[in-house]
This record gives sequence, C-alpha cells and structure tokens, in this order.
Amino acid sequence: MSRPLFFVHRQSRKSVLFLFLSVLFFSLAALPFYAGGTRSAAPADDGMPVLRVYTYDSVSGSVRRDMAARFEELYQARLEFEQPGDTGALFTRLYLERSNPRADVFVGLDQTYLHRVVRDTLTVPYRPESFVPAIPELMVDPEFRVVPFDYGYITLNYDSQNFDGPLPETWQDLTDSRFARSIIMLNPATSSPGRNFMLLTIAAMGEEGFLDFWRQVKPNILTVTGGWSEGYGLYTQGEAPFVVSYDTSPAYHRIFEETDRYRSLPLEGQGYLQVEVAGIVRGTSQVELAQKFIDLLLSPEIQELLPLSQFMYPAQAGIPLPDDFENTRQPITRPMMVDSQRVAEAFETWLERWEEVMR
Amino acid sequence: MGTPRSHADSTGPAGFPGKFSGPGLAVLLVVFLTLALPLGGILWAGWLDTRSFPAFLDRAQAVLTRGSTWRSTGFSFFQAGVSAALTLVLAIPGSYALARYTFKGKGFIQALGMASFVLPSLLIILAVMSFYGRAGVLNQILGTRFSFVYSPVGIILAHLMFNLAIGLRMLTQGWLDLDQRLVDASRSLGDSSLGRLRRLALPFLGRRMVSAFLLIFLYCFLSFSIVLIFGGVGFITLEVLIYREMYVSLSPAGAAVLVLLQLLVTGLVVALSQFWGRSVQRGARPVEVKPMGSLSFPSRILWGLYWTLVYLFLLAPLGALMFRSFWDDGALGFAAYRSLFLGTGGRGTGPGIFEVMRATTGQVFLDSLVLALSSGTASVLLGYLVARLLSRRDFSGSDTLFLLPLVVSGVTLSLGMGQVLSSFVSRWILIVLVQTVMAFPLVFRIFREGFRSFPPSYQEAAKSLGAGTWFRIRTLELPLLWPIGLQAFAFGAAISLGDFTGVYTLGRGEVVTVPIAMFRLIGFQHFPAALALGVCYIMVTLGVFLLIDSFDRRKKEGRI
Repeated sequence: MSRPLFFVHRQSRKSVLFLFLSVLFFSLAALPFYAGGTRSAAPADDGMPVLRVYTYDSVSGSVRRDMAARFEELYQARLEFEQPGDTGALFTRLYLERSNPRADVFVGLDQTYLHRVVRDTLTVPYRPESFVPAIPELMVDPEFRVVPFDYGYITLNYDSQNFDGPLPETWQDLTDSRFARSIIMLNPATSSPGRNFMLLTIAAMGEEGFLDFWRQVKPNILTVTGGWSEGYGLYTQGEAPFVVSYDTSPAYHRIFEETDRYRSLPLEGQGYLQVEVAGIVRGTSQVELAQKFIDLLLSPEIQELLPLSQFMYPAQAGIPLPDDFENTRQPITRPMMVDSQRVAEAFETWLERWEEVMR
Repeated sequence: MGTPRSHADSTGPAGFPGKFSGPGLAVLLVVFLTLALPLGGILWAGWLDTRSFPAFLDRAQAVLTRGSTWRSTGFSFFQAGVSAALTLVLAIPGSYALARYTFKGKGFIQALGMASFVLPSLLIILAVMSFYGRAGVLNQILGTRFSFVYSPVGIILAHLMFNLAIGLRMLTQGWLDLDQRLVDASRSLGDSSLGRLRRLALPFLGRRMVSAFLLIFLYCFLSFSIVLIFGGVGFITLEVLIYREMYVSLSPAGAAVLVLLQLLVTGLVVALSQFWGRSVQRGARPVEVKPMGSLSFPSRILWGLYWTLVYLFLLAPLGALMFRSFWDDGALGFAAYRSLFLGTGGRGTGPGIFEVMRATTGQVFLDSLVLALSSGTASVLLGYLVARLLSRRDFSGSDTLFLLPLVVSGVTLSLGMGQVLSSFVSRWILIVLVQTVMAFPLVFRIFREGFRSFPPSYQEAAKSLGAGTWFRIRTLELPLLWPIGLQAFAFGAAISLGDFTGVYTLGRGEVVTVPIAMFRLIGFQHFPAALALGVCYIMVTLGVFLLIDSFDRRKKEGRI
C-alpha cells in the first residue's frame, strides 16, 4: 500500500491525463464560439487605424457608440474601448504599463491622480484649441498634461421624506445632536467620493480643524460604508436621511423616478470639485489621432451627452444643461479643492488621523 | 513522454518529485495555476512599480512596520474565527437533520443556502438591512428604530447568511459517513444520545468540521465590504489594507508585500489545522434515513424551532429584499420588473436600463449561465482528476497547499492572472480559468473527502479482476461519486455565478454577468431595477440548485 507518492501505473496516468487535458481543452475551446457569436468586438481587416482607449467601467454604452461612430465618420479610424475596472484600476494599468504602453489615450482619471501622472510622466501634453473651461477651477493643470472633460461636486444629500425639521446649513449645524445617527458616510480609504468628502472638510475647516469636526459629528454617523453603492443603497432603503453623494444625484431620481424626494444639501454653499480628465498616453505611436479623439471628446455633440449619461457637468463652456438638472440643482457657490500636490504628500497622514478619531 | 520508463526508474532515488508522474504533475500543475501564476503576477506588478530590489525592500519595511498592518491581521483572524465558529454551531444540528431525516422543504433549504452563497456582497448587505436595518421589516413590525445591526453583530449575521450553505453541505456529508453499525453498537451498549454525540459523532465529524471551518474562516478572512459597513472604521481587515495600498497609496509593491503576508499567516493556520481531524473512515454503511414525522413531539418542537431560526437567518432577509423589489412608492407593483425586462425607465430622457447594463437582461442571464456551466464543468474536471490522482496517498501536504488559493483573494487572483495571461488568452477563457481556480479549493475538498469515504476494497477488487482505468471510472467511480460530483459542480457553478471581481477585472467591460449588471444599475441609481434583477437572480439560482438536488435524489433513489 505505501507506495511512494510520485508513482502511478503508467497506463492509468496517461489515460487520466489525456482525458483531463482533452476535456479541458474542448470545454475551453468551445467558449470563443459562444463569445464570438454574441458580441464580437474584433475589428474587420479594412486597414483602418485603431485607437485604443482606456476608460473606467461606468461610461455608458451610448457615449461609447456615439463616439465610435462619429470618430469613424470623421477620421476613418476605429475606437477600441477597454475598461480595466474603476478609476484606481485604470490608473494602476496605465502606471504598470508605463514603459510599454498598450493604450493610446485614457478617459476618466480625476485630479487626485494628477501628481502621479506628472511624477511618472504618463502623458504627452496637448492643448485643444477649442477648449473653453465652463468654470475657471477646471484648469487643474495649466500645462495640459491632462485635459478636463467633465466635472461634478461631492456634497451631502438628504431624503426629504425621511426627515422633518430645519435642515443643517453650516458644518457646525451638522454636529447638532438632533441629527444623531442619521448620516451615512463613505470610507475615504476605499471610496473616491468618500475621499473627496474628507478633502472637502479639510478644505472647509483646515488641516487641523477638520479632525475636530469629525470628532463632533461622529455620534451623528450611522455607518461608514466601504463604497458609494452600499452607502447610497442604504440611504434609498430609508436607513438614514443624510448621505454623502454627488450634487447631481437628485437629478437621477427626478429623471428616472419622477420624484423630488431626494435633494442635495451643500453646506455653506460648498461642494468638493471633482474634475475628470483625459490624456494622451506617453509612448503612443498615434499622437495625432489621439489629439483628434480629445477634440471629439470636447466637441459640443459629445459634451451635451455627458449630463444624462454620466451625470456630470460638461467641462466645455456654453453647453446647455437638461431642464431636470437646472431644476433640482442646489447651486454650489463655493467649489472647493485641495491642491493635488498637498494631497499626495499628506493624504495618508490625514487618513490615519481620521481613522484614529473615528475608531 | 516518449521513452517508456520502468517502475524502478520512475521512483528514482528517494522518490524525487522531479520525476513527473501523474500525482506529481497534478500537484505541480495546480500549484502553478492557483498559486504561482497569480502570485507571480502580483510580484511582477510590484516589480514594475519599484524596478529595483532595494526600493522594493524599503516599501516592504514601511508596510510591515506600520501598526495598522498588524492590527488588521489580528482583527481579520478574530472576526473570521468567530463567524466560522458560529456558522458551524448553527450548521451542526441542521446537517444532522439533513442527513438523518426526510422532511418537507429539505431540498428547498439546501438550495436556498446555495442561492445566498452566490449573492454578491452588496446584495447580501442590502438584504440584511432590509430585514434587520433601522428602516427594516423587523423594526417596522416592532415599531422600533433599533440599529444594533451596525456593529460586529451585522458582520456575523451577514457572514452566517453567506456561509451557512458550506457548513450544511460539508457536515451533512460527514453525518452520512458515520457508520450505522457504530451507531447501533454504541446504542446497544447503552450509551446516551449525548454520549454518542461526544464519543462518536464529534470525532467522526472532526475532519469535516475542520474542513468546513477552514473554508468558512478563509472566506470570512477575505471579507471586505461586509466588514467595513457593519464593523465601522476601526475594524479593518487585511484585505481592505491591500486594496488601499493598491488603489489609494497607488503602490503595487506595498500591495504585493501585504498579499504575501496574508498568504503566510493564513497558510500557517491551514497547515496547523492539518494536525486535527485526521480520522479516515472508509466504506461506511449508510445511516438510516427516517421521516422527521416519526420523532417524538418534543423533538419535533425543537426541530421546528431550529428551522424557524435558520429560515429567519436565510429567508427573512431575502424575503424582505423581494418584497422591496415589488414596492413602488407605497404600493405593490411590477414597475421595476417592467423596466428591467423592457428596458424602459422613467421618461426615457436618460440612458435606458440596457444602455446602463450594456446588455439586454436576457444576455446578462445567458452570459452568467454560460460562464457558470463552463467554470462549473472545468472545476469539477480539475477537482476530480487531481483528487483522483492523489486519492491513494495520504499526502496531507496537498490538502494544505490546495486550500491556499482561497487566501489569494479574487482581486489578487484576477490582477495577477490578468497581468500574466491577458495578452495570450481570450477574455472568456481567462475568466473561466480564474473562476476555476477560485472554485478549486472548495471543489477539490469535496472530491477529496469523497474519495476518502470511497471504499478502497472496491478499487482493489476491480483491479485484481483486471478492470482497466476507464472501466473502473465508468462502473465504480461514476456511480459512487455522482452525488459528490453534483455537489462539487453546484459549488463550482455557484462561485462562478457570484463572482464579481474576476469578470469585472478581466471582462474588459464586455462580459456582463448578473453581478456586473447589478453593479452598473446601482452605479446609475437604478436601485429598483437592480433589486428586481437581484430577485430574478435569486430565483434562477434557486431553480438551478433545486434542479441539481433533484438529479441527485433521483439518482440515489434509482440506485437503492
């Protein structure tokens, strides 16, 4: 019985391995037929140049299609979109491929990543002639190593059917005990709106003062979720009347559910400005085509799609917003931002101190 | 392969594994596929990050000397241990009943457990909250505003819901292995039922318990969003730190160091645990299965209470979720389902449902099922063959080794595999490969235990009668291992159905399975449609698992 481990009857060994390999091979080999049959993305051999675009996952289908169709029509070139995941994954891919880039252009980092894009020289600068920023704060990089294409604000939202009484207007108000356990916050360590909200409190109250605020507001927090999806999900389930989200969130409810129940609540008129940027990947052999892509991204026909497809504001000036956006909007009178360089230096320290307060 | 080798030759001096015979090859292949490839990928990413060894070491030192690293490791251990232990405590009586009695709803409860096992954690969270939450059903019935669930209690509730199926399934098999002759002997010797439990059942269940405990422990160890939401800021698992290192500090090198740390500490636990529960029982005579109605009245009451509790854990949150999907502004209706299947939403000014999911609802289910079928089949084949090749050797090292891929979380696995393979292999195959690797530890375990309770005398008798391998597989293994194979397939398919990370990271946005579609719908604030999709998904998986169970039962009845 006690045979050495690595010894089997030759015959059985061969047949078992053969069986295993052949079945595995066939079951895997059958897959591409299925995949190819339904949604093939393989470009035809028509000699058209292909521009590979990295984006984050949540760019809607219509924007992709419209851009691809328009691009082909204008420049006789194909667009090939690829999503490595969310924004963080997008950056990681660009960064790890930096000496051997596969993408020509990317869409969808935000200004938080700017210092790293600059430090690792991931892009080649391009200043589109046609670009006129909708608000001056969008010019996060005067050297145009990245180009803004849309923006939004992170702010508090509230559920008007889940809350009576006077609303908080200042940061101080929010720490009042009548809001006990009624705010859902997002974790700045794992959620990008969460991180931006923490930066908003820093921009509003200073690098020292923000911790006092969090200390005081702590009893009013019901939970701190890891991601926006969980947090906003609980909010719409009625778990708490206040949540951290985008200032365009109410427009969604207005448009899809025809309800004005949910509203945004910029305290002291402040919102954290999130600028989303595109850029041309350094090392691409198709710089000119990539520049044309950026031009197209900033053209009115694509820009005016963004409010309803991405729920962000167009970066280009003079693009009209849909009515539902204008109507539900609580104007952000004071767009806030923390300098990207400073964020890069200090974020981990801030995070650790924040965690100490919140623990 | 070419030259034939004599037996003496293939053993070689001291049986050195370099002689690639079947089991050796199998071990190597699996280790390569499940550990070396993803870890290699992660380390490669770490290398691409720093590009110099001293810089990598600096990063490692910085990460390993932080207090938070060790605090998180401790907390990960603690919460996973408690969650796994409680799940087992709840599963012991249930698995006993499933093994020993027939009763109404038996198949349903097992299928229900599986259905919650495949739910994406986001849906588990929403389900738990719609029942236990502050605005949840429980509070509404009681007219209160309790928020006890926002505490480690919630972590355990959600983990219980998620993992009960593993506990039930693995322990049920354990009870089935307990030889009826031993039970009879102990009874005739006048042992009390409690004494029987202590002296007979627990030692016999030992191995299964350790197995099930480890699996659940490892799943909970990797838990991410559940721990964050219920535990609060202070309770951070190692998995969260890895994410943070990768995507917040933007340091793949630091992430690689933490992945190695995670692998090391959990590997240690797995290795230590191999010392327990070594009892091997082969060729047990199956225990008698009785209808539960034949029990005495008090025991029926006790069982009734127990099942109510289990249903409360499993069914209540899912039920509450279902209810919410039909609830539309104060009235019951099908609005969410209409928009999900017809692709309409609101006044049609924004992107429609199909735009947001980037596939039709039919395609979403088709993608999910095709992947589940492929990954389920592939993992059963791999699990079966490796378990078979190792079946006649008590090589417990492989058991330890093959549990380790569980510690390589979905994120690491997908990133690593993608890093290494994405240029050579199509995305569908890559996803199947990753899901097969994800399922392998569980599927291998199931087969391993299956082969352990497989009477070796049958094999030897067949072999001495001159039966070939193929013949033995067909006439002996297939009929005897069939239920185990089905169970393994169920878990393989379940892991594929529930996988978000693999598809998200490797599908490049074009493979749309249910968890992906749900994530996109929620991203665009289509919560009602997302819930409706979740409910359809629960129904479909419930149907699939009921079907698998009914095959199993039909086969059993046919055989007996």
